[in-house]
Parts: sequence; structure tokens; C-alpha cells
Amino acid sequence: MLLQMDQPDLAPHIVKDIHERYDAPWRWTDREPTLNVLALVIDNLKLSVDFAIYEPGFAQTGPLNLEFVVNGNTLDKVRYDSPGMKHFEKPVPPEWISAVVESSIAIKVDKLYVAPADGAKFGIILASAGFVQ
Amino acid sequence: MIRALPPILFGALFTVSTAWAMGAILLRGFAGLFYKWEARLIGFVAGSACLSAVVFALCMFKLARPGVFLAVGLASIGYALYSRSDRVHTKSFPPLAPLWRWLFAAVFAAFSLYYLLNAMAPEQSPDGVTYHLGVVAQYYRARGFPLITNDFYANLTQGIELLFLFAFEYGKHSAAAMVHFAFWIALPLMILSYGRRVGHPLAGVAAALFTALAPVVGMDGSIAYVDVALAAFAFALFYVLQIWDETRDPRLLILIGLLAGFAYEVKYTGGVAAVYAVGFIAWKQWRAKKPVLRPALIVTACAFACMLPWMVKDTIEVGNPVSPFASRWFPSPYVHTSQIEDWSRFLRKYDLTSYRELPLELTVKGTKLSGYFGPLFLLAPLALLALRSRIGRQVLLAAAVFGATYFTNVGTRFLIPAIPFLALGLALVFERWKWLLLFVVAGHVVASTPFAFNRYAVGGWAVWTVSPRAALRLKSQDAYLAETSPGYSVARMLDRLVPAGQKVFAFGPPAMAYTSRDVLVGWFAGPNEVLLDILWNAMNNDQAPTRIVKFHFPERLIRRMRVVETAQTPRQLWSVSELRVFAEGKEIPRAPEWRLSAHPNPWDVQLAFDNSPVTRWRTWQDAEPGMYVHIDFGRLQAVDSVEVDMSNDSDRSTLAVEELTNEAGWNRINAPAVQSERLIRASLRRAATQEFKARGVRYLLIEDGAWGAKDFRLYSDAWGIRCVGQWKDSRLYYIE
Repeated sequence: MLLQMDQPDLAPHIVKDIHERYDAPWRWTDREPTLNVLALVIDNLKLSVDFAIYEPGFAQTGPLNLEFVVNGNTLDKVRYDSPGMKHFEKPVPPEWISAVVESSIAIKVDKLYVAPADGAKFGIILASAGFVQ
Repeated sequence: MIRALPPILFGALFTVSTAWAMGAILLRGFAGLFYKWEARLIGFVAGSACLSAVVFALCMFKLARPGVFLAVGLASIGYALYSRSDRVHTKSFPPLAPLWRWLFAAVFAAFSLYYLLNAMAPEQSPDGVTYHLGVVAQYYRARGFPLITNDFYANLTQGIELLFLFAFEYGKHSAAAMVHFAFWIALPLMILSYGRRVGHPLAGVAAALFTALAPVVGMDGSIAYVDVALAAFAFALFYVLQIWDETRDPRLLILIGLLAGFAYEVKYTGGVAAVYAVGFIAWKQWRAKKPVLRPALIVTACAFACMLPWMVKDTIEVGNPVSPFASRWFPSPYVHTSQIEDWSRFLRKYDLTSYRELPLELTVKGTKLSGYFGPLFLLAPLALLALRSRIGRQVLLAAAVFGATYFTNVGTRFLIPAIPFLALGLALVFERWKWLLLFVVAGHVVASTPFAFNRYAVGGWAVWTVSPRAALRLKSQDAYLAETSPGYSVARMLDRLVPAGQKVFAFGPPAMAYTSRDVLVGWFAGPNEVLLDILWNAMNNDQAPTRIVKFHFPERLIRRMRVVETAQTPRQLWSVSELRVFAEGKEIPRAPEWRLSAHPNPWDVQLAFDNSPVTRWRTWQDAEPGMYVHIDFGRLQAVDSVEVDMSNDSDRSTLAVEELTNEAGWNRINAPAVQSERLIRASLRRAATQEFKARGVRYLLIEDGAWGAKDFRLYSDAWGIRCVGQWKDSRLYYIE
């Protein structure tokens, strides 16, 4: 199941570090955006994440290292050297996931962008995250 | 809207009048024994038992109809009036001292009015609308006893509920509550009468007010519960036993037996009444060196005659005369032992962390135990001083007897039957200092007003406020209950959205008395709990069949084999999702000639052989060595391995495989258990709802706060369900 950040029933899926949505189909995150989502099957599943790295933020933080975690298991660590739209997708070992209960998906962001205007901190701009086949 | 009121008043008054009339007719034969007021009050109580018996008989023959009830009532009232049954009791008590007479009249009238308004208001008490009247509503629709196997509350004795049914025919829910309110009126008047009979009128006044005004007594007595009625029967029994002790009139033995037996009909815990009555009579006769056996047998026989119909009914319906209790002795598919033991464990403690909390909870808090008696009862230990007098010893003995069952359910109202005696004990102690007694009474009166208890017992169960507009139906029942009772609106939603005849599975009960739909509440019966288990198996890792236990052994020819539990696992059930048998690495297909059985719970054994990962056979009681699942292949079958699919919630189970041999009986096969984990590769949710469909259940009612409710809400597609209705946090789903 893929969670879109503009879907109306998203709130119960959010565990932490995902901001309220404004008038956009995406949401800002903090350091470790985490979501719970149910996988209806466990075989041949890939973790899929669509997100963006904010250009002015990137200018401040430089390259970002993201760690993609499923149920506490690190699926991958990726260094992003440029801002803009990104897509992450990688197969998840079936033994990491459950079709009975929700799985947790976390994206650990190593550096946060600090907005000069108010000092607010931001991670990445998340558009969707979840499992696809 | 006010037109809704006459049927309510008629239903209640007609029921009470019929009970009174039957009692008056019954007590005609006791001329000279009772004072006028005693005859009226004890007559009403005893007549209630008679009326309940008549309604029981009518329900058996599906004759619970308004016309039949009308005929019964009119005939009883008519005969009582015609025969002047009430007139045979001519003795009157000496008048009360004016101060105490007016004190009692004024206070009792004021509180009666307050609680009457609560009784008249649309009924919304938790147990009242769930089962006391939920069951009554089913009897009403069926015109008698329908077979109810999906609600163990329907197996409890229902002596008072049958009086509710009599009233319900005309005035529905509020009329029933008002019938219980009649016992709230009768009880203190009996206490007062007893005080006057034994020469302690002031103690009688005080004890009557101590009892009736106690917030939990007022609350309970003005809703469709049965505890105050039980207290009235307990007190009436005590009263008649005392009169018998005075007179040794053998005519009273039948009345004593009737009252004692009916106490059991009111509530199982009332069963102590029969023990008390027989013990009292036997002891007194023995002390007086008079024959013991005959009077004891008469009382026993009369009491048993009252109790027996309920035992027979339960035996016929669910195979257990005291259902839902004693399910280990009377196992049935309708009540699971674990269910009742878990429930009983809760009832013995509620949310108390220690029994040391009891004194304050019972008197001035009432939030954990649902109700409180008021600060006066902090003085209850002083009642022990009453032991100095004979009457004091008698009332305290009765308090001990009727309080003896309290620790089976520590809810405050379960002490109500003991309270009149405790109150009398206290009043007897204070009586020698009249002004002190007056002061204590005044304190209790003040503490029992909503103005006071809304301050010292915030949140405790009591009648915090009443709505005269709702009571008089100046505000419609629908409008009132829509505001005050979420369960009512949910019940109405079910009637609106669920087609007649369809079943609704619910995690928690709505106001069952207000819906005509068949609601299967998860923890109300064994089969319902199986349904609940199916849902949870699909969404709980500990319950999914991931734990595989396999036994390999050299091939052997087996006709009958079983998998046996060898461990004792307190607070853990043993469950088998699937039991598979193999030969040469291939599963032996299940065949029609196989005969399956299990111990315990033979009824569900098929669930271990149905290839469904969401169903399972369970012991439904703590696992013990010797429990088994058994296969008779019907012929010799080559077998070399056995696989038991289980779940992690049975992780303490240790199993063995046995074969039946001609020589040695059951022989344990020497094969080590090899455990492994199996991944659930796809969601089981839709499989679970398909099981519901197969069982004819198409609707789910789930409150947002229930365990797992979020899963249904978020993954309704996975479940194959669609939300078709919602009232606040209760959602109704349709299984597609």
C-alpha cells in the first residue's frame, strides 16, 4: 500500500516527524519521518518513496544522506548530491514485513534545513511512501 | 409527546397492582400474623414472585401477549378486591412520634419524587439497556422465550425481568424501570415496619432512610436493574423468618421458601437466601428441640420449586443449569470457560489496585466500583456494637449472609442486599441517643442530595440530575436519548440500516433493548467469541498461525491418533489452527470417513481441519495435560509425520502425538517436536470476513476505541468491508 501525502485518512498512518499538509500534495518532514502501513502481501514488495530536496535548503545543508528503514531494518543508505524530485525504490526482504500487522517505514535525514526567517527546521518534502509490487 | 406517558404509567402501575393483588390473595391465609402494612409490603414482594412465575409459564407457551397479561392482571386485581384479601390483616402499628413521622414522610417523599422522575425518564442505564431489558425486548418480540444462545446474559435468572416484561408490554422501557422503582419504595417501608414491629421505630425510620437515600440505592432502584429488588426479597425473607421465629407458625414456611427461592430467581447471588432460610429454621428448631427435618424440607422444596424452572430452562437451552457459571462442569459451546473466568477475575477486582481502596470507593468515591453509599457508611464498623442485642445479632447475621457473595463481584451495587441490615445495625446503635440519631439521619439526608454528592463524589455513579421534561415526555424519548445515550442512537441506526433478520457482530454492545436486530456481541457468548477470534487472528501477529510444530517418525499404520497437550499453561489457551497428517512427505487428504473429536471443546474441532488460517480450535480454558485433538481415520492409515499449525499465543504448549493400540491403549509415539516459524505471505483479513459471510453475518459494528478498530477503518478494502453507517465513534460496516 502506497501512502500519498494528500490522502484524507493519512493522519492515523503517521507515527512522527511529518508536518501538517498545507495547500500542496506533499508534506514537510523533520529528521525521521515515520509511517505505519499495511502490506497486503509480503513477496516481491519494494519500498517506494517519492520526495524532494528543497533547493534553498540544499544550498544550506549540502548533500543529504538518507537512511531508509523498514521495521527497524536498514534497507539502504543513499547520498543525494542534488536538490529536486527524487524517487527511491528497492525490494524489501519478505521476512522483514508482515501481512498481519502494519509495517513501519522510516526515513532518517542526516541534516535539517533551518529556515532563516523563523528558525524552523525541515528535512525533506515527502510526496508518497509505501510498498509497491 | 405527553401522550407517551399514560402507557408507561399504566404498564408500571398495572404490574405493581397485579403483583400486590397476587400477594394479597396469597397472604389471605395468614390472618393474624401480619400487621396491615406488613401484609401490603410483604404481599407485594411475595406477589411479585407469583406474578413472575405466571409470566414464566406464559413465556414457555409463547403467550406473553398484552391481552393475556391484561386478563391475568384484571383477574388477580379483581379477585383480590372482591375477596377483600387485604382486609384480613387488621392489626396496626402504634403511631410514630410526630417528629419522626414527619421527618420520614417529608424526606422520603422528596427523594421518591426525585428518583421517580429518574425512573420515568427514558431508560438508558448501561446494563438496563444492554441485557436486563435487552433480553426482555427479545421476549416481547417472541411473545415468550426464544432460544437465545448468543448472549449468556439471557441465561441468568430473570425473575424480575419477567415483571419488566409484564410492564414492557404496555409501557416499554420506562415502565419496566418503574417496576423496579416500586421495590425501592417497598424496601424502606418494610425496614420501617420491621423497626416498628420489634419496638425500635426510630431505628426503623433511620435505617429506612439510610438505605433508600444511599446514592447507589437510589440510582439502582430507579433504573431497570434488579439489585434493589433483590434487597427487598432478602429483607422480606428476613422479616418473615423473624415472624416465624416469634410464632413458629408452620404456614409461614411456604412463604419463606417462596421468598428464598425467588431471591435466586432475581439474581444468582440471591441463592444464599435459601441457605440462610433453611439454616435459620434448622438452627432455631434444633435449639428449641423441635423437629428439624420437616420444616427444613418444606422450605427447601418451596425454594427449589422457584429455582428449578430456571435451571431447567438453561439446561434445555444451553446444557448448563447455572449458565454461564460452572462451565467446567457443564461444558457447552455457548459459554467458554476462559471467558467466564476472565470476567470473574475482573469482577473480583474491577480497577482496584488493592482492597484497601474499598472503604472509600464504597462510601464517597464510587468511580471504580460504580456507585457509593454515602459517607454515613464509613461508620459501618460501629454497627458491630449492635451485637449486644438479639435484634442486632439477627440483622448483622443477615448482613453477613447477604454480603457473603460480595467478593464474587465487588461492584458497589452487589452490596445493596446487605445494606438494609447494616443500616438497621447502625440505627440500633445510635437509637439510644435520639438527638444523635437525628443528627446522623440529617447528615445522611444532606450527603445524599445531588447538591452534596456532586461535590464529594465527582464522577461516581449516581443520579446527578433528572430531567422532568423527559420524564413527563414533554421532550420525546428519541430526542432525549439521542442527546444522552450514544448506545441508543447506535441501536436506532442498526434498525434503520440493517435489514430485518440480518445479524450484526459487535465488539461492544449497543443499547440492545432499543434494536430489533440480532446483535452478536463478541464477549457475550462462545460462538460470538469464536467470531471475534477470527477477526483478531487476521490482524494480530500472536494469533496468526505462524508457529509450526512437526513430528516425524518412521511410517506406521494408525487407525486412531491424537495430538496431546502435555504442559500446564496457566492463563494460556492451547489452539490449533490446522492439524495435518502426512505420509511419504505428502499431506493425507482429509476424508469423509475421518471422525474428529477434541477435549475440551469438541464442538469446534472442525476448525482445525478446515484449511482456513483464520479459524482455530481452542481449548477455551487454560491448557492442561491430557487435552487433545483426535482423528479416527476409519481404517488403518500409513502416517509418518504430523504437523500442528499454531500461533505464538500458545507458545507454552508442549505437544506429543499418540496412537491408539489394541495392546496398550494410547501409546505415545517417540517423535521429537520440531518447531519452525512460517511467514504469513498475504493478508488474512478478507479470509476472516469470508468466514463471517459463511456464518451468515454481514455486518460489523465497531467503536473507534475498540482494539483493532483503526485497522478496519484504514484497511476496509483489505477486509472487504464498506462503512455504511456511523454514529459518532461507532461505525457500521457491511461485508461485501
